[in-house]
Amino acid sequence: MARLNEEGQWIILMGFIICVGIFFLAILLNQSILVGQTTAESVIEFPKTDIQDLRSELRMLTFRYPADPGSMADSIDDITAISLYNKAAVVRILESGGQITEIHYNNGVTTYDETILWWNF
Amino acid sequence: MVGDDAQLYTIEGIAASVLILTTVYLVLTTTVVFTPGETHIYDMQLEQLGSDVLAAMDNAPSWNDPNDPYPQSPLEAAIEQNQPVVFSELFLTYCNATTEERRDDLRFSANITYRNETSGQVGSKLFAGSQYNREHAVTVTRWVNIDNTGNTQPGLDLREQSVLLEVLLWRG
Repeated sequence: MARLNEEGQWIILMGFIICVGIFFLAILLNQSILVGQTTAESVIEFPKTDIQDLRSELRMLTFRYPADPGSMADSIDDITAISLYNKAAVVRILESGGQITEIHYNNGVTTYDETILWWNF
Repeated sequence: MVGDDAQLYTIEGIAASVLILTTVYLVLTTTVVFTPGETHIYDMQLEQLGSDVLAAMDNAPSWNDPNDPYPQSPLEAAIEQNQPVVFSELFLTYCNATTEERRDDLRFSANITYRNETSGQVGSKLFAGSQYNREHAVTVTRWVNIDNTGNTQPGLDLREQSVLLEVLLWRG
C-alpha cells in the first residue's frame, strides 16, 4: 500500500485560499451587475416626472382659473381621460370652488395620494 | 522519491500565476459587466434631461403681474399657434446645449394628445420633429394648458383645455 505523502501541504492550502478568493470576487462582480441594473430600472419605473408634471399643471390651473370652475373642470376631465388613454394611469382629481383639494394617481405600480391644503410645492 | 527542495519557490510560482489569472478575469469581466447597466443609466439621464427641458419651456421667461403668476409660456404659444419650427428650434437649443462649444446630437419626435369634448374621444397627432428610425429612444411628457383665444392648432377644440405633449427623444 502506498504511503500517504504529506509533502507540499502548503501548496494545497494556498490553492484553496486563492480558490475561495476568486469565488468571492466572482460573486461580488455578479451582484454588482444586478445592483446597477435594478437601481436604474427602479428609478426609470418610478413615475417621478409624471407626478411632478401633474402637480405643476394642477397648481397652474388653480392660479389661472380661480373664478372659472367650468374651464378648470374641463381641464381636469382632459387630464383624467388622456392619462388613462396615453399613460395607462388612473387619475382622480377632486375640486371644489375653484380649488383642487385632492389628487389621486395610480399607474398600477405606484400610487400617489395627496390632500392639498396649501400649494407649497 | 520526489525531491522536496524549493517548495517555497513552487508556492510563489503558483500564487503568482493565480494572481495573473484573477487579474485577467477581472479585467475581462468588468468590460462586459458594465454594458447592460449603462444603457439604463443613459436612459435615465436622457429622460431627466427631456423633462427638464420641457419644464423650462413651459415657464414664461418673465412675469410682472403678481396676480397672474403663470403668463403664457413659449411652449404653450408654440402649440396654440401651431408653430412646430419654433418649438423644434427652442427644444433642440436647450437639449443639445453642452458645457463645450460642441453641440450634442439629440433628435426628437413630438406628439400632441388631446380630448374632443363633444365626442369624448381622445386623439393624437404628430406635432414636430424628425422621423423616428428605430433608434433607442425614451419618452417624456408634459401637460400643456391651452388658452381659448388664438388657438389655431388643427384638431384641438376651441376652449381652455389641457393637452399632453409627448416627446420621443433619442441620441442621433
